[in-house]
Amino acid sequence: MSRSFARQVAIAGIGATEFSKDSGRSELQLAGEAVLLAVKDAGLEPADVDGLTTFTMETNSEIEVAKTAGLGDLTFFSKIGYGGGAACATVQQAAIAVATGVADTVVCYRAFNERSGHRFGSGAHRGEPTSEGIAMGWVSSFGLMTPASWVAMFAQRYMHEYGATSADFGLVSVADRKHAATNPKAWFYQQPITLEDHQNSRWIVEPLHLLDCCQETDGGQALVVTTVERARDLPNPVAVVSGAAQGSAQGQQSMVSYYRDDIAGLPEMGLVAKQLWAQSGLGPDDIQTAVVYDHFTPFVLQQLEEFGFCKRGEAKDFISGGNIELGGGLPINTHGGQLGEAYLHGMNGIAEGVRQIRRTSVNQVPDVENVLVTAGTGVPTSGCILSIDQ
Amino acid sequence: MTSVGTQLPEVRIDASVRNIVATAIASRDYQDVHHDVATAQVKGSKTIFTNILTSNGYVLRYVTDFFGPLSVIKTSKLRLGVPNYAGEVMTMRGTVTGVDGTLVTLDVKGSNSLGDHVIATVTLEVPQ
Amino acid sequence: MTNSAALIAEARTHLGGPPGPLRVGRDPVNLPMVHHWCQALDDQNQAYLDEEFAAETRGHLIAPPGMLQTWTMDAPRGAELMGSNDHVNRLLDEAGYTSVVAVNYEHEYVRELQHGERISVRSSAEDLSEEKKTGLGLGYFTTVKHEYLTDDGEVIGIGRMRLLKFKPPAAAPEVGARPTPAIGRDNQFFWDGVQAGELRIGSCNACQTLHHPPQPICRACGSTDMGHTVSTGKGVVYSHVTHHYPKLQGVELPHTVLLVELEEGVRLVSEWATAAKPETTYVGQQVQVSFTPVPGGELRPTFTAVS
Ligand SMILES: [Zn+2]
Repeated sequence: MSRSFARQVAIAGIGATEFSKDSGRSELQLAGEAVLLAVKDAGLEPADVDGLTTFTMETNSEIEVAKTAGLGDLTFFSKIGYGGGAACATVQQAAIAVATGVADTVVCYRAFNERSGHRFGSGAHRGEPTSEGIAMGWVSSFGLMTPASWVAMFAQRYMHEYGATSADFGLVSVADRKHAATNPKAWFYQQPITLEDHQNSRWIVEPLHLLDCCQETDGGQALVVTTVERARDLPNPVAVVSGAAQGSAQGQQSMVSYYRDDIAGLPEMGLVAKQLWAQSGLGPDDIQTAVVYDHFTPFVLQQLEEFGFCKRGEAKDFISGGNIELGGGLPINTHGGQLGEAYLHGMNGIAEGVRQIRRTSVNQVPDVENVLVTAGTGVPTSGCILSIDQ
Repeated sequence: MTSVGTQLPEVRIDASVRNIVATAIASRDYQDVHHDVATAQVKGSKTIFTNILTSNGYVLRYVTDFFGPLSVIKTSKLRLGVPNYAGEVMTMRGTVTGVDGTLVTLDVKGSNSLGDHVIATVTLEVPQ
Repeated sequence: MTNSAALIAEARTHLGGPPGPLRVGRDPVNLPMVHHWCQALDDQNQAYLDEEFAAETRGHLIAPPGMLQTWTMDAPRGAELMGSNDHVNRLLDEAGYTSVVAVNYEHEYVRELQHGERISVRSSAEDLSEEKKTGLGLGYFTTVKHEYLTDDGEVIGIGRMRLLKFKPPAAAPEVGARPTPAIGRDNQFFWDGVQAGELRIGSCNACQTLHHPPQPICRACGSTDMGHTVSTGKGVVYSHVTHHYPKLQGVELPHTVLLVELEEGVRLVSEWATAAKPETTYVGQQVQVSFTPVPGGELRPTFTAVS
């Protein structure tokens, strides 16, 4: 099998705004117009676009451009560093994504008011706020300023729609801390909690208690990825990547996607789930243990629903009776999660997935074949499935 | 000569201690925040500041200086903003927003280093 | 009903009631006081100062209109210089809203005054707002009407003063100024609307689709011809949170944040106009927009519960 994307992809459309010294409109509008013109030139519809690449210096995030231009759900989005050095790399990353089937239609874009707005040559920053800044201003200027408060807004609506309670959220915390209690590397080693402890912990942002919120951590975590063939020649049991996917769903915002028809679910994680099941040929019944992103407890329930471990609104029943603890039907976060082990933006969870495949976890689940690992929730997200080498 | 959009020339007014105290007393306003620095500070202000009657008086003076002694002020509506503390300089700006026969309406703004001290709408009769 | 609420309710019964007693100016309109005023304000208007000019143009000297209230200002021994025998103010004082700051000052000058006329004033309370969260603290806006009359009972001027009566700053924690919203080309109209007392929603001029937060290109039809419409400001609470920790700049804690679904179908993040307690907030609650200063004094669209 060829490992090259050469001669497998093409540039099918191009589009640009006029080039001027004063565009008279926002950078977001310039990006949106250019993307739409390129899509039109290619003879496609905005909804056909499922991937975006741009520069880390771009002020218009992929999700703001997708929302503004009415693009489809995104399964690939990527920013590349180093100023103008990123230009052809946007094409390279798009090509990799298309050649491997991660996305079908990727648009590469870059837009700015570099002359009339912030001139790179001018040093000090002034002028128009970025579209990302404006998006955050809609919440921060009303006193909604912390991650806990952003998540709490979703949680309140989820409770209202499905009758979940704070005690249901507490079950996640109790399970994580139980697993952390037997993990010497965990911050909360030998410090399990009860549901009563959770309920008695002080409010951070109603309806979230202190024990619904993960800790903050200093640390690092890294992973090495290579071919399966090569991995077989290396010392450790092979953790095969059976699937890996990104998701950014329509109406996506960063932590505050409050303007969609339904805010009691996590459609971006649903998009990840759909891809992972398709890529791996697996389903919920094939997963023995999962590392479910847990910066705040409520989103763990929605993720279990989006992956189909249970129906919408039924996660509160699924997680009861110790089902997500070691010995239950789907033990989650066997390292203690970010609530119990450490908050490393989910990277420590991938490592625990590898340990479960290697059968070296301190809280080893018997007969593990496939582990699901998910990434940050409330934002454009990702997930992967790790499997034993058959 | 007066039409909608006509801008009045800027006028700068010193908020000196002398001016703040003299104008407060001339308007018979003996509240201590307009003449006693120590008491003004105890009450939470930076220092003494211009009283409202005077702010209104400055707005009307600014308008009649431009339209002349035959003009007749009909209404003044002030929205009060930041204090005009001693040491500030208030810059007056005005724009005509309406002309209906001899009746002229204008927006007047008095601003200092802290922002807008007074935002006013004034109507007056200006004889032909 | 709390004691404070009872006092406010009593204050409302005085609105539109009879004015206080007529207070007669200490001195009639006179040239020495006009001289004093003109010198202090550096006003050289001939209509006030030049007898010859005044005689030719008006028949007589007039008083500067800005002195209207001066003629009825009390001597320093008067307990309250503004002099209004105002029940509303007394009751607000008793309810703890003891500090005061003037917000608006308006005059209608019915005719010009000449020397020798004695001016009197009578004052009445016209209006009392709901409790508002302001940059200075919790308070009520009140409007006092002053009618200025001659000895013959002719009304020669009408004044209106809007005051904020608030709980002194010492009672409110120092929270600093609320973060300002980021304002750019695509959402300037929204914040201009807030200043104008309008809740504006972005709308596509081509297909009328509404967008909030606003965006420069219509996601329904791709048009860049975007305008806005003015919301009725009616909506329901779609979700809500109450922030306790950590401390936030420009926010008094605990602080309830609302996700409001407007009847036009769009949602926006907002907050209560008053310091409503969290237990009075629920999903589905009917709310109406109002525009209220937040710590630091900037206006925000905020909501009050309606029945
Ligand atoms: Zn449209």
